[in-house]
Amino acid sequence: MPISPLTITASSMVNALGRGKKTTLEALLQKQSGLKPAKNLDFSTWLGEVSDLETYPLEKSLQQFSCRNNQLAKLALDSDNFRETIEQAKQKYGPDRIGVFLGSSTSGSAETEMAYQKRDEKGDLPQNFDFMRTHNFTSLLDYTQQSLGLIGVGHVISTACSSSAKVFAAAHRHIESGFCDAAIVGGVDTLTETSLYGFNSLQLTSSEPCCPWDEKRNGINIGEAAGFALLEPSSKSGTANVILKGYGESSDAYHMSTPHPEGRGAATAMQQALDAAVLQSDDIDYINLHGTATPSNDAAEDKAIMSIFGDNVPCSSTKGWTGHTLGAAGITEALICMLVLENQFLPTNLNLTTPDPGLNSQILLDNTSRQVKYVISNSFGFGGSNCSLLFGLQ
Amino acid sequence: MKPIYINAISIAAPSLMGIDQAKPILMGENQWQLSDFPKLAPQLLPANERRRTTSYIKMALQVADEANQNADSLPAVFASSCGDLFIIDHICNSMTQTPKFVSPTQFHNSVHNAPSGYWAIAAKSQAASTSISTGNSTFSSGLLEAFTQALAQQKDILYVAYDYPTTAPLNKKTNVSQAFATALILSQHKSENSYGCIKLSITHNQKEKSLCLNSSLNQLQQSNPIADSLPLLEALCLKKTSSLYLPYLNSLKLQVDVL
Repeated sequence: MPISPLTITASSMVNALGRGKKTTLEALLQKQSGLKPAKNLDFSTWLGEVSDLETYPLEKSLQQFSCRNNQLAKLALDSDNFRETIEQAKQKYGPDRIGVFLGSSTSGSAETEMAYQKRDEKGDLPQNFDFMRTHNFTSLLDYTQQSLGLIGVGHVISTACSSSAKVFAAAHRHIESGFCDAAIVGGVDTLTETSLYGFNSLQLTSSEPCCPWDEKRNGINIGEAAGFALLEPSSKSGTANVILKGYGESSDAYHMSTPHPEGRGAATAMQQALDAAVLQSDDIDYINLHGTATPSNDAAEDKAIMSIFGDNVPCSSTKGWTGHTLGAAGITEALICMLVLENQFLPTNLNLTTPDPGLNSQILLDNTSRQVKYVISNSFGFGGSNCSLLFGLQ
Repeated sequence: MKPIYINAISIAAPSLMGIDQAKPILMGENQWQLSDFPKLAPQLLPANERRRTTSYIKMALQVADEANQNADSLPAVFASSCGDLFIIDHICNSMTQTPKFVSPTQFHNSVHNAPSGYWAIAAKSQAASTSISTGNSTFSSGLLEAFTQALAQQKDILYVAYDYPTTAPLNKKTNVSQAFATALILSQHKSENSYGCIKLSITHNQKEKSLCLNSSLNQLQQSNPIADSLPLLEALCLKKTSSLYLPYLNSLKLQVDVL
């Protein structure tokens, strides 16, 4: 079903590459990864960690929300002039008419992990541990709304690794049905022991830098990231910019932690995004892959892409730069797609040396300058939750 | 704005197991009394999958299945304030042990969208499905999301909301002390068994949240964020035209006009 487009009029990002869109863009152009070997774990892997977060406190009035996840949210809100642009949007729309839709798979759950380490002799958790203001998903929304002075609609989506892609769809529906006039979408995910040891026990982490689409790929590197974007109806935004033109959402209905082997749900999500944008497969100039670098994920996504696009569209996974940022992967890669459109270049597959001969889509082997008008960003998660976003130039 | 019909309701809570048992209480004919929440075995799930799930997941599937009697592959909205507290407790405990180990099944069950994933597998539904939370106002946020989805398309929407309590030490830190789940089918079209229709709006007026008409339910309403649905379920079962105010973000209320 065709949708009316939304324009991205402001955005900010922080990830293992550093703070701000310019830092991510430069790292992409210079092919410099943010991944580093993990320390202090019982197994070896590489991580996309954001440095110096511990020393980045929340506002004095919002200390009750203090946790690594909200500190990362604040770092992103304080980057790329995002706060200042939101102040202008508040003047334009009113603080009650800007929705906030955020994705996370972790929220501040690391606080609960730490609280369990500090139980007293009776087994009770520390008095000052505040589950509802740190771990509960609403913590991220409450903190973000209060930090920005917004009092409108919103919610937190947690659908594993598609979380902060699906926020674009939720924001679109809330704007379309008149519950808000504009919306902030975003995602924030931070490293937790649960996700590190959990992915390791599923044998899905790699002890080497992750290498999506490589014949030797053997798992993910977990990363942390935050990103935000302001979406306004394209008719009201005024400036030429990057627009959300389509989205697709589907379920695999296959397995909790393994994708459908033919990429059935992934293909449905991409086709829906094309239909929503009223575009054909050959209109697409680039696909930012979910491309986690597990053998089964990349194989399923490859089949899904081949079923719709054949090998006609250049594709890459940018997880070799940032790691797999789980609940923040959707927004991180949506904003990388925005950088692709603004700068008219396609990023390569960092760490890819020998493309898997069993995978057939057109995989990029180097950074490439070319005309780019429409791009797709894929995000697929546990529970078989799929989301594809289609962005274009206005 | 078009009104949206509520064409099915299901419920699972102490002494409210299924809409047939719940109706006399929701319609004020009988008093509610606390009882133990039973062990559930939703038949929708194959036995081998059911063994891998928790009480929290089973409760969500039970109400989803009861509401969606036609077993349609509907787009779905799942909403839960706290997620699976049993799994959170178990994994955080295991992170204090040496060596640290997370069970693979518990890890994939730990994602907030685990009930949604199991439901899609069991119902063979490839339709879109989302899983959300906003803490104490989770029922309202989920209802609003389901409402916007129903407005945007001709298909019926399955809305499932649920929270399940845990034991010490985590129970004292959460807003859940009793099990409560409900599911609704939202539609642009009136069905034969429709309960009526609703319109939603956000109100900044300092309205108190709506309480149950049957005051014996007030204790249950305070025991689980999803139980703030009770005044709405009462109005729908009574087919009573009313304006209800459900807790929403910050000090806002979601105004639900039952028509």
